[in-house]
Amino acid sequence: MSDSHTSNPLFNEQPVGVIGSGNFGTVIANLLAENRNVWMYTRRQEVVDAIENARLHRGQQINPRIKAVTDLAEMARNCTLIFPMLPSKFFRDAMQQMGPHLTPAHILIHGTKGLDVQLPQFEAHDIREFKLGLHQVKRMSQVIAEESCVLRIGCISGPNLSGEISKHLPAGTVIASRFNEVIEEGKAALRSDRFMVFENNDLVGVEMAGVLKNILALGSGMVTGLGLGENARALMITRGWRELMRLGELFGSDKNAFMGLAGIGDMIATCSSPLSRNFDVGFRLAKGETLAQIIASMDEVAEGVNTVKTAMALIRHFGIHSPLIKSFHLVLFEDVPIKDAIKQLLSHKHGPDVDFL
Amino acid sequence: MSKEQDVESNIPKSFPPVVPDIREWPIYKMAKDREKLIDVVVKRTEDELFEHLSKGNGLLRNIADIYYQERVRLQENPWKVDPKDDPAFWKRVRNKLQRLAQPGHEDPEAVRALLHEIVERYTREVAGDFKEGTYNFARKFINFGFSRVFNAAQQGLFRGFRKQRMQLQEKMQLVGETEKLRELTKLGTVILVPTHFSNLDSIVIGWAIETLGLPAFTYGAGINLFGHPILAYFMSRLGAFRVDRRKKNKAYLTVLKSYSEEVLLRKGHMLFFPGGTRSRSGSLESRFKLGLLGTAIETQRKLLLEGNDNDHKIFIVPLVISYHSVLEGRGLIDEFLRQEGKEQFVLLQDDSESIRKNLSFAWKFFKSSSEMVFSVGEAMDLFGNKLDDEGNSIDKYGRVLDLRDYFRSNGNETNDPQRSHEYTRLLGQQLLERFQIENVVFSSHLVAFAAWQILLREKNGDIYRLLNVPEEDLFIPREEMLKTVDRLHVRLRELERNGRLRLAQHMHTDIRAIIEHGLKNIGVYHINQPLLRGKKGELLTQDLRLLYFYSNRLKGFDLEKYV
Repeated sequence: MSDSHTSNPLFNEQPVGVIGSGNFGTVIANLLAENRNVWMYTRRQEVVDAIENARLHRGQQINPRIKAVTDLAEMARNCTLIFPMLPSKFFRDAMQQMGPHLTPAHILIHGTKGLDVQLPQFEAHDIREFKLGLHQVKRMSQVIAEESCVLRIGCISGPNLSGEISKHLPAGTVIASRFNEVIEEGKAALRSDRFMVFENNDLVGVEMAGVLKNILALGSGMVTGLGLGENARALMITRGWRELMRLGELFGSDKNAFMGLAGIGDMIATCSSPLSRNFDVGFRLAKGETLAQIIASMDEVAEGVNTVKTAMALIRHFGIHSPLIKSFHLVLFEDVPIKDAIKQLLSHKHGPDVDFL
Repeated sequence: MSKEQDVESNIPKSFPPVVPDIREWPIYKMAKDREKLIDVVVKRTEDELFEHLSKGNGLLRNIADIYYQERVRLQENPWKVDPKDDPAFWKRVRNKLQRLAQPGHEDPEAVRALLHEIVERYTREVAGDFKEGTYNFARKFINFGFSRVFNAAQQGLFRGFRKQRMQLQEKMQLVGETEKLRELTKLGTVILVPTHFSNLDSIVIGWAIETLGLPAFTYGAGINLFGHPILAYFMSRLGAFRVDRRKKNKAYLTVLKSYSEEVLLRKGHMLFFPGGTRSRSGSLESRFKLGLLGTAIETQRKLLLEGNDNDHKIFIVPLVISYHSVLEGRGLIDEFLRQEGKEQFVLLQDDSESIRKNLSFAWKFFKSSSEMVFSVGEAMDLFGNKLDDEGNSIDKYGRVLDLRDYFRSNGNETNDPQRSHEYTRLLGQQLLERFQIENVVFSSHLVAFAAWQILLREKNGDIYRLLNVPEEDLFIPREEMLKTVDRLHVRLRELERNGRLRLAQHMHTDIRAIIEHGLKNIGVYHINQPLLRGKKGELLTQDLRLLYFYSNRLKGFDLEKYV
């Protein structure tokens, strides 16, 4: 611990909470620990042991200022600034556990790039007919608001491949919230000389850009896996971006967020990097593995897979023209061979180039 | 005397008054203390403005801007209701401004005095009053009107009292969280937030408040309404305060804010139409003017953190009113289409003439056999939390919340206007959702929606193309209407089961009966009927725009795809 740290007045304040001990959660906890004491929540005792004893988790050194905890209530009592960093499918559960302990004084900034689908029989429907209305699909910030009395909510999103940040490579991110106060608190806690933090008041836009761009990462993996070339990738991404912005609008997002670090920025990183889980899924699909095989072999969720399913259900419900997402859905969930899907895709009529700005 | 008793006994008496003695009502106490209240508001406004306007161009220049805006108003948009001495007053202001602007005549004291003069004039214009006698008269008059006309409409001259009373209750139903609303008026300050479709809303809400046994509420009424002598007489003595939509200058807006704040601080219950004006399209409010809600949040913050009255709470209660008919529906939808069609600047109209027409319509309205439902929504605090029986804010887990936490950051209490602004916006969103959930759907809404959507589908969803078709050329086959209403009804029932809206009692019967009920009641007193049955059982319209207006009531429920 250097002197500059101990002289920082923030160090005398309450710790910052991080919920989730996945790759990204661990990276964020380490970044926060450069400024503040951090409590990191995990459900698994072996993770607590790894953090407390070996100070090594997910291949990352753990900052000595990080303490592992297994009690969400205790975290809520001790931290008012909390970063939930969980896969979307565990998100609501965790918020329901924590909700009874949160107060209006809490500030929550999540880092989850997925959607919550409120339908217990999600799997039971015929996937080809499945429709979802907006009231059944929730952003993570909506889940927080629904499961607790917290109003001051934000999110963090951007080209933040965990592997690179943990190697101390430079990176930037966006903190979005309607509340300036949330952005300020988040910035102060995360700021470091290798991690730039930008601000955005369009919470919905930043959340949706981060969620939806995973769809293109999947597609990009497929293009690479099939060896279709860079022209095809550029075509897919650019036309796909138009479809994503249209979907984002449904949720009420502003177009600007899609143009920033959490949109185009994140898309460039995930669509060109094999480090991205979503890219990896697309790549392996193209190489002939089945979706079930791929999912079984991964230790973390590729959010993009569920996002394609949810997006397609929304597209059906609202009758939106969205040929690319439809093709991804055919390949992922309707057993259509990739080559047939591409043929079908290329047969679409060609419209104007830019009509979405 | 005996006649008076007669009238009294016609009133539905299911709710005894919460506070029987009018002299104990906040609105009565405020009226008694009117001069002092004005002083407080003037002082607070002046201090705030002085600080605010002294920045930038300086106080003198900012007062000159106010003068300029007022001069434009006087010249370009004068209303009958404007005080006779308005031009003279502003002329004096101009003379003083000119004198003070001359080099060598700088006089900060005199500039401040000029600000004081303007603020005091505005405050006196805005401030409402309350007269017990007028209130007692009005409550009898309105109750008499309602019970009398319903009976007359039924031509049942020899009905017993019991029957008469039952009939009135049948026609004008108060549903929802009525008891909670009554309780809350004892526990804190209630802001009742109703939907707004008609100029008659304030009258019928007045009736509802009285019937619920609540103390009188104050509300901001458009100053144009005071142009009608009878309305003006009543409104200014029943606690309404005046709001002039033409005046948008900082000084005037600060007076309004400060006045509302003072009313809330003195526990005066308020009525606030969040849409600002009547719904032009006939749909439920989709956008809010947040004005008073923002003031309420700021007042609550002061009460919690700065005042010594920190258990005084402000509560929000949504109220959705359902009608089969809106008197001025045709005028409203015309205005809506004009505004939608071309985005042109529409001068705010002096509509005191149309108010007079409305009053004469009121008799028709009373006479129509139409029913009305007031749906009192679940009360909440200013942050959208539910309330327990003691008025404590509770979260979804039933824990009592400390509202001061909303104004804490890192353990410290802080004043952050941007934060309060966001809280206000969130409250507005919550209220929009509540309006949908508390909305009571009538048969007339359903038939109008079905008919309009069927016609619209034939024009590929192009509203203006449809509106250009002559009414004589349009009809809807009986079978198609039946099938469509059936599909929509199934969906509406599903939405009701999921708690996303409510259906009126008459909606829980078979489809044919619902359609007949809807046709019988939709827009009963319009000369041209929005929807009627043709000779061969098909449906016709005599006024497409009105049909559009009534169909909009079901907009926003995502029902279009079920047509």
